Amino acid sequence: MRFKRGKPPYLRKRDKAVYMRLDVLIALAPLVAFSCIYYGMRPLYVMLHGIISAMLFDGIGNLFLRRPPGWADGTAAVTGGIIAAVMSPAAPYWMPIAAAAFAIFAIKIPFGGAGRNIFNPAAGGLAFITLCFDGRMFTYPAPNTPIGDITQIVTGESLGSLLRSGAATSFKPADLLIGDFPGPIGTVAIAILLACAVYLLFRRSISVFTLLPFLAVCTGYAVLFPRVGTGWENSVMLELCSGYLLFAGIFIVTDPVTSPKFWLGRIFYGAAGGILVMLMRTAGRFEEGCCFAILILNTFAPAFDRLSWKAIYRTRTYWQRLKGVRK
Amino acid sequence: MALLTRKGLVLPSRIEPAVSQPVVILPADTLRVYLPLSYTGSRARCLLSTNEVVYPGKQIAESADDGQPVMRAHVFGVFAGLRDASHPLYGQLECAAIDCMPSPVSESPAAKNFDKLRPADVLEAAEAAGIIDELDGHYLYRKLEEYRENYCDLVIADGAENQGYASSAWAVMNESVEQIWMGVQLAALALRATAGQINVRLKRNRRRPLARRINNEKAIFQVRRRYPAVKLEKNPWGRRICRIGVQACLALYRAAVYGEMHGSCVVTVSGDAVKSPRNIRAPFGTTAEKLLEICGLKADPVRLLSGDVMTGRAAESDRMLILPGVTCLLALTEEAVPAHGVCCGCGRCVGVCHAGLLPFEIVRRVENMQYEQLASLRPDTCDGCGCCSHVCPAGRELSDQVSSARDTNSRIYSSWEEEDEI
Repeated sequence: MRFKRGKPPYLRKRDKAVYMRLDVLIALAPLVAFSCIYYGMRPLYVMLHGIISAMLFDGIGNLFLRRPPGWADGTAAVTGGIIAAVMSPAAPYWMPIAAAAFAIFAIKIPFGGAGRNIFNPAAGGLAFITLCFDGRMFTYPAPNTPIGDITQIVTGESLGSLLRSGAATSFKPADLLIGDFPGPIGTVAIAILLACAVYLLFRRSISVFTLLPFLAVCTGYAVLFPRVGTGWENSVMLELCSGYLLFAGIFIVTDPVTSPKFWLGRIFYGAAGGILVMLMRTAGRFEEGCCFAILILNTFAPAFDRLSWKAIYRTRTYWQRLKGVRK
Repeated sequence: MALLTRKGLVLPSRIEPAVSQPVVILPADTLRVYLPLSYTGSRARCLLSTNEVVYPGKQIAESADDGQPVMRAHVFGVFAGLRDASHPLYGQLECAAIDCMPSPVSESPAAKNFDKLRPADVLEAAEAAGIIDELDGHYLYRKLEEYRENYCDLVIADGAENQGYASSAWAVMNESVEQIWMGVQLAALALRATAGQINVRLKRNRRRPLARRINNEKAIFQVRRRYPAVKLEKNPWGRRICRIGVQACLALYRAAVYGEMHGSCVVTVSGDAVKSPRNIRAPFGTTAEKLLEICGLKADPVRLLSGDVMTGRAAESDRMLILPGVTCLLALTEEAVPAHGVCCGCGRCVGVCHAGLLPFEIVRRVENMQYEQLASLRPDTCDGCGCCSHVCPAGRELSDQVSSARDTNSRIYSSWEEEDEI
C-alpha cells in the first residue's frame, strides 16, 4: 500500500485567516445598523458602496498581478468597510469609492496585494480623501435627521471641531455612549464600539498588546495636555469619543498585517501610535489626523518587532546563561 | 504575565482506547524480520551466507569504517538474503532478511546481582546489547560515555508523550516500571550521577500507582501539560541532565542483569483509519504492514506516520520497518494540511514558539533571500516542534522552512556577512 508524503505537523488547527476578516465585518455591522437608526438607510448604502467597490478594485488589481481575484479572502471587504465607517453619513457615494480605489491601487496592490502591504490600505484611502476633500469629509449631519437629499442636510458641529476651536464644554456621558452627537457612520456609538473591541479581543482577531497601550497613551496625553477647560475627566472623555480615535484604535492600528507581531513590539507600537495620533490632532491641519499618524507608524512596525525581540532574546539568554540552563 | 509565558499548545488527547488495552506481544517465531546492516549510513559488509542460521548475539555485518558499532542479530532464524528498505527516520537501509524460528534455548540466563554491577559492566552490557535510545536514535553506550566525560548529575527517563496519540511509554511503564527505575539507577551508576527520575505526563490516577510500585513518590515527575515539554540541558539548579527513553532504560536493565539483546520495542498503532488502536511489542525489523494487520483498518489510510502527529515522518509504504526510535505508528485518513496562503500577520506563530523565535520573520527572510540577516534571528535554536505550523491560520509550512533555515544556516548562509549577529 502506498501513502502520501507531506511535511509535519500533520495536526493543524481548524482556523482560517478569512475568519479574522469576517470577525471585523461582523463587528462593523452593528455600528452601521446603529447609524441607520439616526440617519435612515444612507449609512448602509455608503458602507455597501465602500465594500463592493473595494472588492471590485481588488479583483482588478489582482488581475494586474496575474493572480486569481482574492474576493474570498475578505481583506478588500474589510478595507472598504473601514473606509466607509469613517465617512460622514452624508458623504456622497463617490467618496468611499474614490478612497477604496486609492487604497487598493496605490497602497495595497503595488506592494504585492493582501498580506504583503506595508501601509494600512484603509488609512491610505482615508488620508487621500482627507487631503483632497476635507470639507465633505468633516461635514456631519445632526443626529435624528434622516438624510434624503445630501445638499439639504442639517449639519452639526462634531466633537472634533468643537475641541479644535476650544468651544467644547461638557457632554453627558450617556449621550456619548449612545452616539447622540454628529460624527462619522461607525465611530459615534461608543458603547457599541467597546462591545466590538471585546468581541474582537475575545476572538483574538486583534491584540490587546496594541489596543491597550494606544488607548492608555491617548488618555495620558488628554490628561496632560487638555484642550478643554472643564477638567481632565472631560478632556479624556471628549478626546476618546471625538473623531475616529477609538475606532482607529480598534480597527486600524491593530491591523495584523501592518502592525508588529511580537508582544513587546506591539506595546511600543501602540504607545507610539497614541502619541502620534494625539500630536496629529493637536498640531495637525485637520480636526482628525489618525490616518496620517497610522501611515507614519506603519513604516516603523518591522523595526519595533525586531528591536523589541532582540532586547527580550538577549535578556532571556543572559538570564539563562546566568542560571546555567543554556550553554 | 501568565499570558506572556504560556508558550506551546494544549493538544487534544487521543491516547484512548490504546492506553486502556493490554500490550499485545508479537512473537518473532513466525515472522520475517529485516535487520539493518548499519544504522549510521556507513558502508557495511554482510557476514552471512544464504540459509545460514542466525542466533541472538551473532554478528551479522562488518562496518567498513572504523569505530562503528558491531551489528548483531537479536532473533533466532535463517538468513534469507539482502533487501533494500527505505525508512522515514534512517533513510535508505540495506537489510538482512531473516526467517525467524522458535528459539531452541528455552530457559533464560541466570540473573546477575544488581548490587554488584560496576559502571564498566553497565557500559559493556549496553554496547553488547546494541541498545539504541528511542529519543534520539543514538547508541546508548556512546551517549552514556559522552555524558560521563562531560559530567552529568541527573538522569531522566523520559516517558512524557504529549502529542496526542502515542502511549507506548505509558504502556512500558505500566508493564515494568520497577525495571525502568532500576535501569535509571544503572544509567546513573554508569555516569556517576547522583540522582534519577522518570518524567511522565499522566493523570494522577495513573501516576500515583507507578510511584507506589517503586516506593518513591519523588521519582515520578509530572511534566507540563502543554506541548512541547521543554527539554533543558540543565535544570534550574544547574544540574546537567542526561535524558534517556524509558524503553532504552528497560533494555539497559535487561541487558545488564539478564544479558538480553535489545530486540523489540512497544509501538502505539493508532489513527483514525485504525479499527482497534493498540500498543504492540514488536521485534525490530518487523514491517508496519504486520502491525496494521493485527489492529485492523476501518478505512483506507491516506498517510502512514512513523511518530506522533506533530513530529512524525510520513512513510511511503506499509513496508516500513519497525526500528529503534519508532514508538508510534499512525494511519490517518483525513487531509490535515490546509491550502497555503500568504502571511496574515496574526502573530500566533510568535505566541506559541517556546524557543522565543519569530518564525514568520525567519520565513520572510528566506523567501526574500535576505540571508545575511538570517543568523541574527537564531533559527539554529528551533527544535522543530511544529507549533508554529499548527496554529498558522494561513496554513503556511513555517516549521519546515525554519527547520530548513536551521539546517542550512551553517552551510549556505555562512558565506553572507553577519552584520546583525547578536
